[in-house]
Amino acid sequence: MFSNKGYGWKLGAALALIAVLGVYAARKGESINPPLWRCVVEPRRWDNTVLWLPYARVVSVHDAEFEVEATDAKIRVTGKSPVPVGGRLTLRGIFRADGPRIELIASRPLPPDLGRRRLLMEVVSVLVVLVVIANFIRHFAFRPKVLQVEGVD
Amino acid sequence: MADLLVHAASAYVAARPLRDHRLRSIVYVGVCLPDLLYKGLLYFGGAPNYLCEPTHSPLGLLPFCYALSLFFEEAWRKRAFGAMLGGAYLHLLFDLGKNYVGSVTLMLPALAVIALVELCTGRLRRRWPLSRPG
Repeated sequence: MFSNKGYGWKLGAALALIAVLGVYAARKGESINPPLWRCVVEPRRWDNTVLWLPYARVVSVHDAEFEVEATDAKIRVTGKSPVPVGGRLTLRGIFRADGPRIELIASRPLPPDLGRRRLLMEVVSVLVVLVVIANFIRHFAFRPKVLQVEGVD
Repeated sequence: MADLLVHAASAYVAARPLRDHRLRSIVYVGVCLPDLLYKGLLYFGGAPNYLCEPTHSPLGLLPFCYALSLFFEEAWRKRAFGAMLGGAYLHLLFDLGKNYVGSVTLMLPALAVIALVELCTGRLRRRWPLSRPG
């Protein structure tokens, strides 16, 4: 299984399996939490679908509804906004084609400094990746000069 | 990728008993692998989210690790596959607590764990020099 025999076929089969799994997952997952812009573009198709907006900004607040902006699309949400205008929140709701609008199931305000926290974590994560890759290269890089010196000894 | 420090700390602790430094370095790569593959496909490949999901599933990771292990020299492939898969599964295990692992507040404890393990193994090495990794 790990030998050089039929190397190209093995590698090709593994890559083909990766591609098949990816396409299968994409097809199966298409209807789970679809992006907001798709629902707004095709409201009839996505009527009564449960939506999750991980990050949305409240644009306006009214008595029994509010408007949010997320992933390049705006939509009305039926329910009470937990944050004032300009605040950020995450919410789950049912998409209704009439409107179109979202019927709020649950929502949670997001901290105002979320962007800065996220940036810090991303920077640290990139540094971790660089260190891990450098460590890997240190152990596996082909260094002919080192080999020659070791060969002399 | 936001919580890679926590994942790296978990791999650091788990891979500490391994005496081979090269094997250890593969475990570290393995623990970062699911996020590297996911973000790579998402941002560099322009793939939709669900197409990237196999990078975070136990069965989906098998062909990824197998394909990557084929790039090692023949004698190393089996060990590389095991170490990479072990690291990747450790990542999935920690992702089960995603809401907590993804928090910035866990970064300091993660660093503390690395320092603690380093301190303890350093003391052990001084007391029993034969236990030094080869």
